[in-house]
Amino acid sequence: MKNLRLKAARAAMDLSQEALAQQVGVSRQTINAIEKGDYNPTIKLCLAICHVLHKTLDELFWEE
Amino acid sequence: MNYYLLGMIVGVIFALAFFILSLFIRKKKGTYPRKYDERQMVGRGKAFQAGFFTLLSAGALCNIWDFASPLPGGSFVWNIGVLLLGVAVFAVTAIHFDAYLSLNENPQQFLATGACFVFAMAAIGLGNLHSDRHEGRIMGIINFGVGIVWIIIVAALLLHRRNSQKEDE
Repeated sequence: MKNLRLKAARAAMDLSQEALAQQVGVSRQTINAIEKGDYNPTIKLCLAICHVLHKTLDELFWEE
Repeated sequence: MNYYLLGMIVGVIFALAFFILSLFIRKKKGTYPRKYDERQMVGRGKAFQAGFFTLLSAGALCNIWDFASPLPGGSFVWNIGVLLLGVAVFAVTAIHFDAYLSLNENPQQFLATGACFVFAMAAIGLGNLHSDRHEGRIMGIINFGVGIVWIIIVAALLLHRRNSQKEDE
């Protein structure tokens, strides 16, 4: 399932996938895969993304 | 004096020195050790699996065939070919999962190095293919094979880059 909340949060901070990937320490393709729903990140990566985007785990990754 | 053995020893020493020198340079530039993210590690695992089982299957097939009826050119060339096939399968699978190049590797630099390798191996291979000596022709085929593997890797990387750039941001 696509993670549109992550995409929206990234766009709200005016960050490109490349910029977010560099801050988090992964490749741009990994961020793209997470947003497209092709890859389920580990909790460690989820926390790193939340930290950069100033969001909580629930706000970005909780399935409704 | 076996000049082939001497040449091989000198070649191994040269390759080792080149490898150690490249490690120093890469460490200074920050591209060693290679860093892969978690998704790339999963992809590399799948690539190693694909390469290993290709090597195992093709190797078994070649050697069974050689046992039944001698392979043209000798089993040595075919076994090297099997090895190169396994490497190619690993590389293409890793590239498909975007796990071939690490986070701290420069794709353009890698492609440029790869292109140099292709030309060098193809040139050496083509030159040796016309050798009068059987051993020279064998080395020519092997060098050519290595060049083909590099062509496959470079082509797969270029294709993957083109497809990645088309992805929606």
